[in-house]
Amino acid sequence: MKLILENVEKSFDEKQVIKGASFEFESGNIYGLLGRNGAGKTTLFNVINEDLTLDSGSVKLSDEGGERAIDSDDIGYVLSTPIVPDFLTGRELIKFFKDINMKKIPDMKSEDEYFDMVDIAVEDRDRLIKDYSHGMKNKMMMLLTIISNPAIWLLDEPLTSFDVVVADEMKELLKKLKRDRLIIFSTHIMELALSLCDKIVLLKDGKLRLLEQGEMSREEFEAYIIKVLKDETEGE
Amino acid sequence: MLETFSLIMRLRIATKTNSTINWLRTTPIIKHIIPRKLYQSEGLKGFLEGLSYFREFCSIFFYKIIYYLIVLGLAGFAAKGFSEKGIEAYTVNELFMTVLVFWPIVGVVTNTGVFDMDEDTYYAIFLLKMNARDYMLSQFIFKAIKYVVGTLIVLLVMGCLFMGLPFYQVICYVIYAESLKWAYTGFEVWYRDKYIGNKKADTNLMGIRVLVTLVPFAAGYIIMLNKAVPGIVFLPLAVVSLILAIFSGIRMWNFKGYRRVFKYLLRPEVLIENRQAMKNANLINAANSIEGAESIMDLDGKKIKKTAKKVNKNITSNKEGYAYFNDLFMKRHRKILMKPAIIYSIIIAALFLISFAVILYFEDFRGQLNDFLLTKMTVFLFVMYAMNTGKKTTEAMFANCDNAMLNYRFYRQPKTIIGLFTGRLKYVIYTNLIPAFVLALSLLLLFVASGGSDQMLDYIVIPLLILVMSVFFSTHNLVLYYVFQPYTSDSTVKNPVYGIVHYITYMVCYLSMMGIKASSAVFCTGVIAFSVAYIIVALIVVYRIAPKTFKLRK
Repeated sequence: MKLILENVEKSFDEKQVIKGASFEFESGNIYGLLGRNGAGKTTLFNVINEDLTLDSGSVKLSDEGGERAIDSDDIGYVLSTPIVPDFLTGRELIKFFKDINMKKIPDMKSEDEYFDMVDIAVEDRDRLIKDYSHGMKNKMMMLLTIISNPAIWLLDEPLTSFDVVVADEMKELLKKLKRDRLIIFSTHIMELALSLCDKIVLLKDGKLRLLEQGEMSREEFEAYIIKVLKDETEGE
Repeated sequence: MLETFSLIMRLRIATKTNSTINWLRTTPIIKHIIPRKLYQSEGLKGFLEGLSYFREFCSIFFYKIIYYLIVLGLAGFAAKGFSEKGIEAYTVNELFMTVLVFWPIVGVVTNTGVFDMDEDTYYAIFLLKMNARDYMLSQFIFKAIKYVVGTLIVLLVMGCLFMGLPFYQVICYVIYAESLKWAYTGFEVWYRDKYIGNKKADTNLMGIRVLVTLVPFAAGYIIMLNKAVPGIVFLPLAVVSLILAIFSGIRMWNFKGYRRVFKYLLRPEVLIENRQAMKNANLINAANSIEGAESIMDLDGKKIKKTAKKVNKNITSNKEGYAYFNDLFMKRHRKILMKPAIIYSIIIAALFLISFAVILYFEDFRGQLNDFLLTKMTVFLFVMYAMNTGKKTTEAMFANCDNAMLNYRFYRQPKTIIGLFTGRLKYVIYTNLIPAFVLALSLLLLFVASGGSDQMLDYIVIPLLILVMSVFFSTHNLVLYYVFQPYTSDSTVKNPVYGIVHYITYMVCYLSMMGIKASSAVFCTGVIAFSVAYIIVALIVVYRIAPKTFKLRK
């Protein structure tokens, strides 16, 4: 399965953020999306998730059945600021989400099994989400994606608010899950990008480009990425 | 201090200017007239900034003129009353000054504004790290100057020039009124500092305020009924209050603990209470990301345990899927949704019993009530409008639910949107029908008891009107929410069209209450027909366009 971006453009008022980005993401990979502050990473995610409408270009999915538009069940999007409804308890949110996805998901687990996956303590499971910490809300949002198990995962800086243990577990989980999935992972943490991601994609000057590590050592690759990110004229 | 003041002033003007620009940008028609480029032009921005300064300047006088005109009106009214009763006649001027002896006391406790617990203060002191003392004092002194200048000019022109009040009395009055504020504010600074952390003290302060306001005011009222206070009393009043104000001022100037006091007053839970539910999320996020986060977590931590217990035992649902979700939402928001309905029902029932007793014992009122019900049903258009909780409900829906859920694609599927809309509509209609039903029944019984009419139709339309209007406003509020979805994801800016439509609704209800003179049969039938038609059209519109319009505004 492939996610195909073709000449995607998006502007806000006069400011063009995405300037004809084209790229093919392939399943079985974790893509690390790097870019400087304000480069448009979140905008790009929003465009893929159809939260924002494109100015021009297209975002399509290609699988055995050929090319088609993206369906809501295809994508799971975990935002950098976790957004979960305040008025439910963690368990109630999971129950609700399981209810509405019951038909689509074959091997549904129990609520507690899901909580165990992201290490949410037993005593927290029946508390209102309103009173959860930032990291716990983030876990909840991640959990929804884990449950619905879509083909495409868009993760916007998701691991930064997890404690080291959970972040590590989550990394392992993502590596396990990636086989038949396509994960795009935006982050500012180089270490994380290099250790987790199979491919590094740069969003620079509104365009996407793949950076190949090739023969470079990790340090050299790191230095190279930073050089490319810094270089004002690169990519023009 | 001056620096702080000019900073605050510039912030204020910038905020006002930006909100004007934003308003223009999002208002239909106007936004097309003014090309986007112009917004960036220094000229237009400068013009709007000038306008904002001008507005600030006008505000110095505007309310004071109205305020003293009201006092003048009261004095004139009282003078007329006195002369009619044949009691010793006082001049309007004497009565005017008499009111002014007591009036400032009310203003003192209700309108000092030193410890304004709003988010502006929060931003200024905790986000922008302004010096709390400079912030508070410069605000206070600025207000004082505005007050003194504004009042002096208004009263010199209106009082001395037109009414012929003695010059010294006006001067003394201004000194007296402003000094009272200083005296009270000094007291409040002392009190807030002494009882910091004591939540009961906050309530007590409210009590003190009420007493301080009511006692002298009531005393004044009694005196006024019998005698006009001679204007000369302003001289000793001014002297005494000025002395108090000086002590107070020294105390405020030397006080070091403003930041401490503000920090206590602006703790997150207070901010939450004070703000609309809408803006909370932002403030808490902001609060967590800045200093004091740990103590905030502590405060929250204590609250968690309480709510957690409540949640487990009392509120659950045995429904499934979206119905489960909707059910829990409604149950968790009983306070906003169900409670008003029950309170209204009780009030209506009480009013009904009183009215019933009145017409039972006083036959004179029967005819009047009957007449009222036959000709003044228009009043209930406004009553039903005011009683409807639909708008509040949509605010809660957004702030605590849709704001988060609309980020998920599955929640934005047309089927889901329509399904939830239907569930919500049923619930809002149901809750609002409870008091409506009580009212409908009460009116019908009162109508029968007061003599009824020979037209069968009257017995039907009066209760039917109440029920239909209840359904109408419930639908109207929810439909507007789904069609305009006026709140942004940061919950601050509203869709101006939404505001305008709500305002039009209000005006129509208000004006028809005041203006329309029609027999109930005609009015009721008309309104019922209109409502039914409106509800049908609105539902069709929602089912057609809500999947497109019901989304987060980015």
